[in-house]
Amino acid sequence: MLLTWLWLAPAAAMLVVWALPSRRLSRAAALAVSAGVLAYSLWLLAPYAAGEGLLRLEESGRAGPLGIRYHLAVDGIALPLCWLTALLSALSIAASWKADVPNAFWASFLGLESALMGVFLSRDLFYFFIFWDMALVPMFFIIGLWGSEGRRKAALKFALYTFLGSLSLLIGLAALATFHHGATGVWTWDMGELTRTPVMGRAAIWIYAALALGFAVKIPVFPLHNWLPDAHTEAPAAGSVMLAGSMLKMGLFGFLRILLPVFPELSAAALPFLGGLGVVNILYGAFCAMAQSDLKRLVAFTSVSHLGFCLVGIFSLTAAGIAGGSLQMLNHGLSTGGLFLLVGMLYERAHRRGLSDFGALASRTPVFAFFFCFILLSSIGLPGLNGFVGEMLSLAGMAQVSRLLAALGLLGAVLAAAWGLPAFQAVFWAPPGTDSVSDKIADLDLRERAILWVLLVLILWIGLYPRPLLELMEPAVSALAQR
Amino acid sequence: MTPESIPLSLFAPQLPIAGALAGALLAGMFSKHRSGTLARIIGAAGVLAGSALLFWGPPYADTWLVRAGGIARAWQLFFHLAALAFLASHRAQGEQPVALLLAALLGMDLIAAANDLLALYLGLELMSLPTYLLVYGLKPQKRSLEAAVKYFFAGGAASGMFLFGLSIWYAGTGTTALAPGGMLDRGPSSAASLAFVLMGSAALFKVGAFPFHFWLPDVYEASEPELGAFMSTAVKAAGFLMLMLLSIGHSSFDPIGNSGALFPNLGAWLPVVSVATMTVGNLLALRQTNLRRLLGYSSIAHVGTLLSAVWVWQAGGHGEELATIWFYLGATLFMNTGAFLFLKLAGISQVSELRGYGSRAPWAAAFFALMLLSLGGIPPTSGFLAKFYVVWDLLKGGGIGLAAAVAFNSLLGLGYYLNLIRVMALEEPGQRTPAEPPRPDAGTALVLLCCAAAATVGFLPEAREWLFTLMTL
Repeated sequence: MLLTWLWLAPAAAMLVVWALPSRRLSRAAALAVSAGVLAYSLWLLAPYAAGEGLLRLEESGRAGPLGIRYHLAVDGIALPLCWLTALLSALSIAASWKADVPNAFWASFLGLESALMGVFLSRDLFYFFIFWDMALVPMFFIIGLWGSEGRRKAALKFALYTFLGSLSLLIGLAALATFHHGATGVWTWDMGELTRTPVMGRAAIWIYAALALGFAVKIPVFPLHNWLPDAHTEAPAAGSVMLAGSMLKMGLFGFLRILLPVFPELSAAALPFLGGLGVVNILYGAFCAMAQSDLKRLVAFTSVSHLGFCLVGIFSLTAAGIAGGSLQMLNHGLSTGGLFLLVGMLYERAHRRGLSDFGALASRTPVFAFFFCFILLSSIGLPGLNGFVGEMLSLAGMAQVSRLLAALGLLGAVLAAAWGLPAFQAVFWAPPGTDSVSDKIADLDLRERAILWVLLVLILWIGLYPRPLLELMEPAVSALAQR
Repeated sequence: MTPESIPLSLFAPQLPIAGALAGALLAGMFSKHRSGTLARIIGAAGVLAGSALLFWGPPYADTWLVRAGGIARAWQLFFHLAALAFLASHRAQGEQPVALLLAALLGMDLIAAANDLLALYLGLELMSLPTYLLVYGLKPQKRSLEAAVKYFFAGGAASGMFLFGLSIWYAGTGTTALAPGGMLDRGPSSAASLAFVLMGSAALFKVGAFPFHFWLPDVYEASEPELGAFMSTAVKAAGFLMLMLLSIGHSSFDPIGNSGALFPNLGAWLPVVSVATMTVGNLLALRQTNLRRLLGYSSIAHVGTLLSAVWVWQAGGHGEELATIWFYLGATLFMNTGAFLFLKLAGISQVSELRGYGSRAPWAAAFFALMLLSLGGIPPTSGFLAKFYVVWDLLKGGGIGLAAAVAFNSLLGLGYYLNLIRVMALEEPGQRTPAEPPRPDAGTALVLLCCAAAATVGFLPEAREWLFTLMTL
C-alpha cells in the first residue's frame, strides 16, 4: 500500500474537499493534503537512503485473465517526477490562495495530482492508460472554468488534441499486448515482461508510430504543439504550473518507460527523426518565444524549447543523454513552473501580461525582480543553476551520436538568451510607457516569497550539486542506455 | 403426440411478479389518491421476491417450451433491475403504468426462458404491447400519441415479420423448437435464410438497429425519462437476447445455456449492420438539440457497438465474449438510467437548458458529466471498460476492421458527449437554465447512487470475469 497511497490519498481527498461546506475550509484542506502527500513522497526515499535500493518499493496484485495486473513501482526516474508533482501541486494551491474560486477548483488540483501520480507509478499499460486519460479531465476544467478570456476555446483545443492522442495511444497499447500474445502465447500488459520480448517486423513500426504519436501530442512535439500556447496562456497560473511542470512530462515519461525499453532497435532507428524533431522543438520554441509580446505566451514557447532538450537527451540513447533528459524534466518543472507562478503573480496585480504594459519594475518591486531574474536565468541555462546541467548533459549525450544535432541544439541554448534578456529588460528596466501600470504594482508578500524561496533553493541545489539526483537516477538510466 | 406438461413451479420467479401485477391493479380500488404509490410498493415487492426466487427457487429444468434456472437467470435478473429502477423513480399518479411495466417484465422473463420459437414470440408480444401503451399512457399528449402509434406500427410490422419467418421455418422443419438441427440438417436453403432474415429483422427492430431505427428517437423524446431508461436498457437487452437466440452460430456459449447451430453464417451481414448502425447513430446524434432525442441516437450508436460484440461472440463462441455483451449491457443499464433520471430530476429537456448548469448545481452536473463520460467511453468509467472489451474481443477474433470502426465511432461520439459537458461547465447560465439544484427523493437517490458507483468500475479490468462467474453460478 505504500505506493498506492500516493494516488489514492489525493483522489479520496478530492471528494472530501469538494464536499466541504465552505470555500476557505476547502482551500485549507487541499493545501494540507497536498503538503501531506509531498512529505509522504519524500519519506518514501528512506529505504533508498538506507542503501536498500528503490525497486523494493513495488506492489502488485494478481493478474486477471486479460493479463492486466495492478502493478506499481518507482525507480530513479519516476520518483523525482512524483516529488515534482507533489511539490508543484502544493505550491500551485498555495499560489492560488487568494483566488475566490469554488471548492471544485481545489478538488480539481487534487484530482490532477492523483492521476499524475498514477501515471508515474504504473508499471502496467492498462492502468497507465487509465491514469493518463484521467489526468485530462481535471485539466480541461481548470483551463475551461477558471482561465482568462479565451479559456473556452483553449480548453476545447486541449481536449481535442489530447483525446486524439490518447486514442492513438490506446490502440498502440492494445496492439502491443496483442502482438506480445501472438509471439509468446501469454497475455500481459506489464511493462517489465513486455520488455523481454522484442517486437519485430512491420507491425512493430505501426505500434511504435501509434505510441509515439500519443506521447508526442502530450509533450508536445512540433508540429503537434498547437494546443499548448493557447492552453498555457488561458489557464490560470496554477493550472499552467501543473500543465508545464508535471503534465507535459507524461509524454516524455512514456518515451522513457515504454518506447525505449520495448523497442530498442526501433528507437535507435528513430533517433535521427525524433532527435531531429527535438532540435526543431528547441529552435522553433526559441524563435517563437522571441516574437511574443505576451509574457505568458512567451513562457509557453520557452517550454516547447526546453522539452526539445529533454527529447534530444532521451533519444541520444546514451547514459549521459538520458540522465540529462530526465534531469531536464525536473528542471523544467522548477524553472518554467516558477516563471508561470511569477507571471501569475504579476497578472493578479495588474490584470495584464503584455511586455510593453510594464517597465521599470526593478525599482518599484525589487524583490519580485530578484526572483524573476533568478528563475529566468535558470530557465535560460546559466551555469551554476539547474537548467545548465540538464541541457548540457542532454547535448553531451547527443554529441556522442550526432554532432550535427548536438550543435544545432546548442544554438538553442544561445538563443535562450535572446528571448530571455530582452523580455526581462522590457519589463524591469525599460522606461515605463504611457499606459504602463508599473506604479500600481505592489511587491511580493510573505506567502509569495516563501513559495519562490522553495523553488530558488532547489534550483540552486540542482545547479551546484546534482550528484545525489543523478546517482538516484543512475541504475534506471544505465539500464535504458544499455539496451 | 401430446407434449409433456409443464409444471407451474418452473415459473416460480415470475409468480410473485404476476401476483404483484394483479395487486397493483387492485390498488386503485382501495385508494384513489395514493394508488400510484401503493402500486409501486406492491410492484417492487413482487419484483424483489421474484429476483430472490431466481436464486433460491426451482433448480435447473429444461422442457420443450421453456427452461428455468441456468444462464437465463442472468438475463432475468437484468430485466428485474431495470424494472426496479423504473419503479423507484416513477412518480406519477395511477396504478396502470406499474401494471403495464410488470406485464412487460413478464414478457422479458419469458424471452429469457424461451426454448421454443413460440415461447419467444409469446414473450415478444407480452413485452411489446404494454410498452406501446406506456409510451402514450405515462404522458398523454399529442406528441406521445404520435410516437406510440409509430412505435406500434413498427412493432406490429416486426412481429408480423417474426410470425412470417416462423411459419416458413415451421413449414421447412416441422418443428418450432429453438434447437439445432431441423432444416439445416439438409444443408442451408434459401427458405431457411429467408426465415432467419425475417425473424432476425424483428429482433433488429426491437433493438433499434439501422435500418429499423427510425421509431426510436421519437419514442425516447416523447416518453417520460424513466420509461426512456427502461426502453434503452431492458427492452434493448431483450431484443439482443432474441437476436442471440436466433443466431447461435458456432458458439458453445449460447446466451441461455443451450448449444448448437440454429442459424450459422450470420457473419456476412452482421458487421455491415453494426457499422451502419453506429455511424448513423453517432452522426445524427451530433445534430440534436433535444436531450432525450440525443440519448436516443446515442443509444442507437451503442446498439451498433453491441452488434459487433454479438458478431464476435457468434463467430468465436467463447464464454468471455458472452460476458462482454453482459458487461456492456450492464454498463448501459447504469449509465442510461443515470442519464435519463438526471434529465427527469433536473427538469431539463433541451441542450440549451444545460447552459451553465455546472455553476447552478455542481453535484448534479458532475453526476451527469460522469454518465456522459461513461457513455463516451472515457477511462476510468465502466463505459470505457465495456468498449475496451468489445475492441479487445474483436482484435482477438480477427475483426480488425470492426475494431477500427468502433474506435473511430467512439471518437465521433465524444463530439456530442463532450459538447454537453462543455455546455454545462463552460457556458454562462442562460435564462432557461433551472435555477435550483434538483432534490431527488430517497428511491431515486438510491438508484442514482448505484449509477454513480457502477460508472467507476473502469479501474477493475477483471470486472467482466467476475460478472461471468456471478452469472453462471
